[in-house]
Amino acid sequence: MKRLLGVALGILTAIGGFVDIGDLVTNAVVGSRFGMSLAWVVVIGVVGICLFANMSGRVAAVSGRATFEVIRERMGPRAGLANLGASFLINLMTVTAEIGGIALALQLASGVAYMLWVPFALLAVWLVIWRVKFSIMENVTGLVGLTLVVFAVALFLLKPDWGSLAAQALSPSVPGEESTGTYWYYAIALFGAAMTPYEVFFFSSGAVEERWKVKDLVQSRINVLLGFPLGGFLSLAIAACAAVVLLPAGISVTTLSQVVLPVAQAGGQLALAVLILGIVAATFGAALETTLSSGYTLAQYFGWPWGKFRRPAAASRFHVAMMVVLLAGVAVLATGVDPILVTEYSVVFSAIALPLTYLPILIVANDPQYMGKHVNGRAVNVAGLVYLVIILVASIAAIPLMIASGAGA
Amino acid sequence: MSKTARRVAVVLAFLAVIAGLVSGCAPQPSADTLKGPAKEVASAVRAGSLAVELRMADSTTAAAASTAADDMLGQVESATDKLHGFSAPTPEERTVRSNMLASFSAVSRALLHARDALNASSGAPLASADIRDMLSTVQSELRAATDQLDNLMTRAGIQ
Amino acid sequence: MSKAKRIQPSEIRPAPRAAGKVLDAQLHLLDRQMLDVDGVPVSTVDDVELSGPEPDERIPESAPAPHITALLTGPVLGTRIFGGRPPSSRLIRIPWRVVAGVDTVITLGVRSDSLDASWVERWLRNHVIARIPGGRHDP
Repeated sequence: MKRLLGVALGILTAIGGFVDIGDLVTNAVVGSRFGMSLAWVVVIGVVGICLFANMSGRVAAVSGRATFEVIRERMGPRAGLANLGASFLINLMTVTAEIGGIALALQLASGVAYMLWVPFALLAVWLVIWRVKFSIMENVTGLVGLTLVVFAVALFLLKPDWGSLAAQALSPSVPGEESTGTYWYYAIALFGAAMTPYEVFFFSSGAVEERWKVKDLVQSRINVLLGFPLGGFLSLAIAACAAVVLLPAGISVTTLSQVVLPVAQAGGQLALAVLILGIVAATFGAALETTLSSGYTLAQYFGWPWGKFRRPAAASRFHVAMMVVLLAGVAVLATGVDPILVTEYSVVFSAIALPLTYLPILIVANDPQYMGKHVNGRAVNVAGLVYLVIILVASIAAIPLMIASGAGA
Repeated sequence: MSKTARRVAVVLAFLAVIAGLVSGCAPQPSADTLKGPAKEVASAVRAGSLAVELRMADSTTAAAASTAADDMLGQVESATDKLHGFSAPTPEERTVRSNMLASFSAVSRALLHARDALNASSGAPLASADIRDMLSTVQSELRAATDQLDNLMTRAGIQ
Repeated sequence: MSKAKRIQPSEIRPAPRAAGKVLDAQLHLLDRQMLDVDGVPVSTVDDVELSGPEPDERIPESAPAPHITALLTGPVLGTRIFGGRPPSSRLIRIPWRVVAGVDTVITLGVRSDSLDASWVERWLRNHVIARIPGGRHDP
């Protein structure tokens, strides 16, 4: 019974933790402008993140080392530094976006100006990183984030034309008012939102935090293979709600306040309240994960002691680095920049940096010195190589498409 | 720096200068350039309408609806700023731009009233007739502004 | 600088047989994590300091073979990647004599706090972390 509960907890936290502000915003924008014609990208992205999260979890469980530590050893300091630089900048953008997301959601709940919530969000995120145990942090934010399933509930309540939604998804085409360049630009953005690099580093460091061993691999595989796809369904539900309510009304999503309108229409104030709770939990959880991820990558590259399992005094550089990251994120928000804009750019830049962050994992997962007999099987390697090609294509095409489409304007 | 590195640097600098020049030039108001701001405002006014409609049906809170109206107001302001940035040498272009600006300002007014009405509707549910009347007035104002903008966009060839 | 002419010595003695473990500096030492005697991470090995003749110096005939004097960490990583060398007095050294074992990680026989290499960690601990309430508590 206890094992069953443990397994269920793992899956549920994976679902609830899958969606962050990048997924929320990008899926809503895409749904409101392209309907379901980009749903295939979500599917590809989910399969990709399952593949790589699985690999990095396996590396951590078998070798006892987090992925980034192994990257420097295996690939040398130069490659490691390039990876670190790219990951760190993306993480910083994502932390900024997530903290902005927390503040925006709290503004929706209360009507109090968004800027006033930012310091509050900063303090709350930092306090949890400072004092709360890793497993408690993960479980609480994951479980509360599950309330985002209200998007799926709202979709049913809206009684959409399932046939036409399915037709849009299964035979994708560029809608009349949008250009092909913008379509592919948003395809890349959606891909970057699904395959966030921080997820993989967080997952493997989390495996070390929770002291996974080889026997935990089965649990990790179940979490990933059940949890992430269900999280992907949530993403599709977000896009579908926007497609059903906002697309026909001629509303293109640019703010979080528009994202919640379909759910309010479907389920009233109760659904809205549940949704806002879910958004706060999801963005809060993601803010924690990205901040920790920046700390992990820096500490693992330079060899500092790290981990929430250590007292802060025993991991000073790790904690100071995270404080600096949080303050930098808030400083960016304090300039008044729109956090939704930061979110949209962060997902595209995530897509650009993907080759740098995923190639090392593929290499390390194939190294028998670290993996012993748990190296990648042939099927996983084939899938990994296919994804590497997809990632490279997306990364190379991103900037030209950004210029050609005016960043999706 | 090695020779190839120097060459690459020169090319990149050249491209950067070109990019700067191209983006710095002020666009002129034609159907293509007006499309962006006009569509933003069209989307904003419709979102405002939806927010008011949901509030009238008591489906959403005053906080969420007024935040939406406020956000949409900001969007219209930035579209208006963009439009101000357009140069208009010929009289036709000036007419197009001023008509568009007038329409945008009608939308702004409607959204402003909507935001105030939505703020006033917070607290007790919409039992009071005053609140409901205020919201319906605001809704008609928003619809009128939407129609005005739509007509303008059709005449300008944007939709 | 003129290139030194290669002089063949009159007799080349065979190389002495290696006693103990044979290590490859690139594979086994560089970029490895260093753990102290309690298993606490100290740093990564950023560079290795060797004794013996400087590069481009003439090697006298009966000179002893160079040996590792210290593992280096800190800003020397920047010079290792981008070129150059910091002055000898600025290097942060972990003397080779404190190294206890070389494996997938390098184990030291002393505690991290006693080393020069952890001064940033100690400084931040005393001046930043300790000043914030809760810093010394277990999570």
